[in-house]
Amino acid sequence: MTQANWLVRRSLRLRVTLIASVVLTIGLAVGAAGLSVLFVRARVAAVDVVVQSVAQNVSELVAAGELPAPLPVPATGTALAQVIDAGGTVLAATAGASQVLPMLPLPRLASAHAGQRFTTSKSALGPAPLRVEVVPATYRGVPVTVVAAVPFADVHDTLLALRRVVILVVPLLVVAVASATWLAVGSALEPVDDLRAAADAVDMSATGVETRLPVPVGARELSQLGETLNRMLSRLHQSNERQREFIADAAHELRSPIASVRTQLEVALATPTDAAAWPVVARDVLTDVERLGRLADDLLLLARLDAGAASAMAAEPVDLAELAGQPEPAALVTGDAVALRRMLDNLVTNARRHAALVEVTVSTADGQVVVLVDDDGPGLSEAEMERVFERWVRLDEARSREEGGSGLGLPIARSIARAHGGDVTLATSPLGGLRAVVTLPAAAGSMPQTSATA
Amino acid sequence: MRLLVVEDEHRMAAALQRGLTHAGFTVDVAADGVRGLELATSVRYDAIVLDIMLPGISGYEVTKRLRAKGVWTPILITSAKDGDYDQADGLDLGADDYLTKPYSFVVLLARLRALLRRGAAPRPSVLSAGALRLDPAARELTIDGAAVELTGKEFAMLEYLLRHQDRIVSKAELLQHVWSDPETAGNAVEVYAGYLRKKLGRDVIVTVRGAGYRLNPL
Repeated sequence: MTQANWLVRRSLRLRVTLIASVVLTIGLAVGAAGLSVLFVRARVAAVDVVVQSVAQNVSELVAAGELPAPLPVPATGTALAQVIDAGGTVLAATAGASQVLPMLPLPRLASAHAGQRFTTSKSALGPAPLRVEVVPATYRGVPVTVVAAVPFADVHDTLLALRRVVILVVPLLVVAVASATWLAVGSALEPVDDLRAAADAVDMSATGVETRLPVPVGARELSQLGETLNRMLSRLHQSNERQREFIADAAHELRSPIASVRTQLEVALATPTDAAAWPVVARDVLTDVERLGRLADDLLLLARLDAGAASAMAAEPVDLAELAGQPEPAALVTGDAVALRRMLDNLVTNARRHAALVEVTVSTADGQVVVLVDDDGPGLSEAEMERVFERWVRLDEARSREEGGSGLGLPIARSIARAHGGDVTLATSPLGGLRAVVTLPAAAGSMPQTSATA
Repeated sequence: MRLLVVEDEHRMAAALQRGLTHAGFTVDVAADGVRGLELATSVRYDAIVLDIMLPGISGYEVTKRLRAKGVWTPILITSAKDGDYDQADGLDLGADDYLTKPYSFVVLLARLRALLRRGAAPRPSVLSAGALRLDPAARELTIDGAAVELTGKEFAMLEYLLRHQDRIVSKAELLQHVWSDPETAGNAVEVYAGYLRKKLGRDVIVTVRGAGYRLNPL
């Protein structure tokens, strides 16, 4: 595991604190370094002015052939100067400088360029750094060297003091900022922790009241997150409730025929039944088992449609006109022939249940295949037209389940149409009853404007 | 013993009729709620086997209307709905038992025998006396339709008095039936009788000196 990985896996709080501390440390270090560089430059510039003026004064004296002893220095007081001949003999010196020993070794003097200023700590005066300017000159015809110097130790001391301050203050500052960051991030993230704990405690299997997470007050990002999560919870809750109701209804629908079968068999076994009666029992039980089988098929089909099996469906050219029992002209769509036949069957069966006359019309227009299933039954009210698409809904309360269908026919028809990119809606038929309208996208290249009655 | 079977699945109903007849009952069958209600009110049955999901009116509604009409025939609800609240609702509306489909025919017979032992005495699910109406399932008390808030003990004490409104109930009996620890309850009965009088009116609970308490319906 790399360093970065380790950091990513820590808590956000630790990460922010570490990053803040590191950035602050680097910033302070760079700042301190920059400050000392600037300070040194400024001090060097100031010292250079003094060194240069001393060197110039002494050079003028040398040029004039006058070498007072000691050499005069400006009022700053710390400046030193020597005039040295080629043999290393000190011809003249300021009061603070040696009258005998050259300040710098001869090779260093010889190698120095005219007018060059440099800093050295290898002088005859000891390890304290000096700012030095070496100027070649001619004294009464003899070549000499003028050396002017200003002790540089005060700059050094100031730098040391600055470094001590930095070493002392930076850790304190870093610790202070780290603690403040730790606390601030901690309190800012507290609502997130509350949210997390509440979300952990959400029990989607619980019925009834839907759970809400505490929406953090204050920070907008967090309150928005809380509201978004709550909306998501609410949607989950609703879909959960729908699912629960569907399963409860499915359980009821499946148990009824099973109960019927069980009671018929138990009673047949418990009562003395003559051989002639057994085929009657078998036929009755078979009817219930067939009903159970149809129900299982419907449930499985719906479950597959719900699971988004549109992609798993066949995508072959299907002639809806042919499926509707009308051979010419063709009305081609792309889809699953078995599923589409099932859709039409469900609509026609539903219509036949309530009406004597049922008409199926297939037409193609504007890239859409439209199938109309009209009947002359009692029809439905506006509100009922949407409700019948809900699962298990049987509007006809007075009908028994056996003759009334499963309550899944229309929902299945609509699910199939929607899986093919179309839809099923209900309207009032010109025949006086109900009109089911199927619209499906036509397959490319199918014939326009066809119509027929089955 | 005459039974009414209200069941819309005709094969199921036929099998039940056959089986119950063989078990010695006289059986009538109704295929929907309306017919079931008609038969149950016009014929004195000894018990009713009632499905919930019926064409016309539901089994719940049949139960409610029968009890409202003062028909106390024992009702055994049979349903493929097995939710906790489906069962609780059926029983609270006045049914006497609930059997989830599919059930064992042997168990159905045993439950019917148990119901028949209990008989058809009035067993209202909502207790009333005068203007008082107390619903133990909803834990609600109304006086002339206006809701009155009662604490748990007040409710329990009033419920006991309502269930025995035909006679005087002694203090010891109230302690025994309403308080979990009668020894330490002390003068709780007097205290709660006072609370109830404050909420229901002074004369609703009459103290019969030396005997106990009696409900005095307004």
